[in-house]
Amino acid sequence: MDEGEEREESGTGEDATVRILVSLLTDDLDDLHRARRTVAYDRLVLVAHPAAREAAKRVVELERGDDVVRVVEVGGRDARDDLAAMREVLAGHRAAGDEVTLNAAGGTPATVTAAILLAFETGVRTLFVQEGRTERLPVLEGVRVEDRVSTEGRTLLAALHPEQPRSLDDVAAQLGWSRPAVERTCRGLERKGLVALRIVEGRAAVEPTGVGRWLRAHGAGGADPASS
Amino acid sequence: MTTIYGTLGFTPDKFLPTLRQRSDVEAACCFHDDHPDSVEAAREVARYCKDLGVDYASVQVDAFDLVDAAGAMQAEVRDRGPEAADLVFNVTGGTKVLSAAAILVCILEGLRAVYVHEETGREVPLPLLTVRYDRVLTEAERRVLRFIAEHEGEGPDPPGTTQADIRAGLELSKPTVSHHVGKLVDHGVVEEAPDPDDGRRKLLTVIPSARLLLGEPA
Repeated sequence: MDEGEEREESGTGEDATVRILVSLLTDDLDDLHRARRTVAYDRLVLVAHPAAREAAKRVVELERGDDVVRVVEVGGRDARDDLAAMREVLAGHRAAGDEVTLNAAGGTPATVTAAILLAFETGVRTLFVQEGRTERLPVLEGVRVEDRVSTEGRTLLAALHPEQPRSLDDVAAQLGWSRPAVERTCRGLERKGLVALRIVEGRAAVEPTGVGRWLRAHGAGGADPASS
Repeated sequence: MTTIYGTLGFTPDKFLPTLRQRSDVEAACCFHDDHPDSVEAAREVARYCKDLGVDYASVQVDAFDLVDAAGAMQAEVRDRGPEAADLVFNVTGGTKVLSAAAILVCILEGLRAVYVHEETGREVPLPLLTVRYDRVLTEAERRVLRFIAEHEGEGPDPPGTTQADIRAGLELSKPTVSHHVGKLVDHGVVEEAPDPDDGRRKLLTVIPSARLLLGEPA
């Protein structure tokens, strides 16, 4: 069944936007139930660490099948790994034109950290649903991390090797820029935490940091599902 | 010289690695709640810092109120006024809410954030842009946001201010106010609702956490 048929089947119509609630999950379902009461959704994506597998199964049963629920398993111990997994989930739904709300409460501390980082990276509407209160995080919806980098910065990031430092002279030659222009742009990116400047074999070199690598792959000259 | 901030739970175990792994720490400040174990953990950090000759302060916050805790942390960071490059925030300890509040502050203030890996016990930097997030808003948008935050409680219920109030208060033209309010509503930090007493009026309020964008207490 393709996506158009699924939406008609659910009565939302072919052009209706699908509302996705992405929620972190622990083995205590009360947090999730609060989020489900607070947010209207058509589909639920549960970000679950291994200890929450049984809880995830219960939710699939409650929602009467995995047409409505998708479970994404994360490690729950390393925020960077969890962030990478959640980025893929969000990118897929955005590419499909879905309306996404993220609940950043619940889950392990590492997953909560990852969810909040994702929120500000991508400008997704984000709530923190707790017992007794729901906070909407001060995420500027629609503002993504790549929006805060200049065109020159993004061009330079795209010219970097993802895993190894490149000399500033090589980058200048490739881009057809002057060496001072490369240095100036690199320093700006370094201040933002996107690149690191080093001396390699006696030459000034630059390499992307973790967030710089992500931006390079998703927003700096590469295909960006989030911007479609 | 580095200033280290951190969130504390019942033990200092997740904070101490950040102190150990640096040789240039000048000051440390921990945020914790009023649970006796957290208070004792703060005392342990105080003793550790005293031995090292590091200035130390602890701040009690509500570890279950995200915006309140973030506001207190933000105020402390701004009061001390260190350069972002000289400041590291260990966001590992304490409740999830406390850690989340710390992450929020790091993102908003452009601070370097680290956490201690659960398995390896090693400090790991978080992939944050070290740029103040609130600077994404233009100066004009911040002025309008601040005006709404400061005036939404004035007058009779229901709370809220109007575009007309903003025009008068900030001496801005109708199209300018409409443009900025529209951007803030699109960004999700201002909410617009019809006045129940007069359907022609639209009342503007800020979401509570948006005050963090202004660096003000919630």
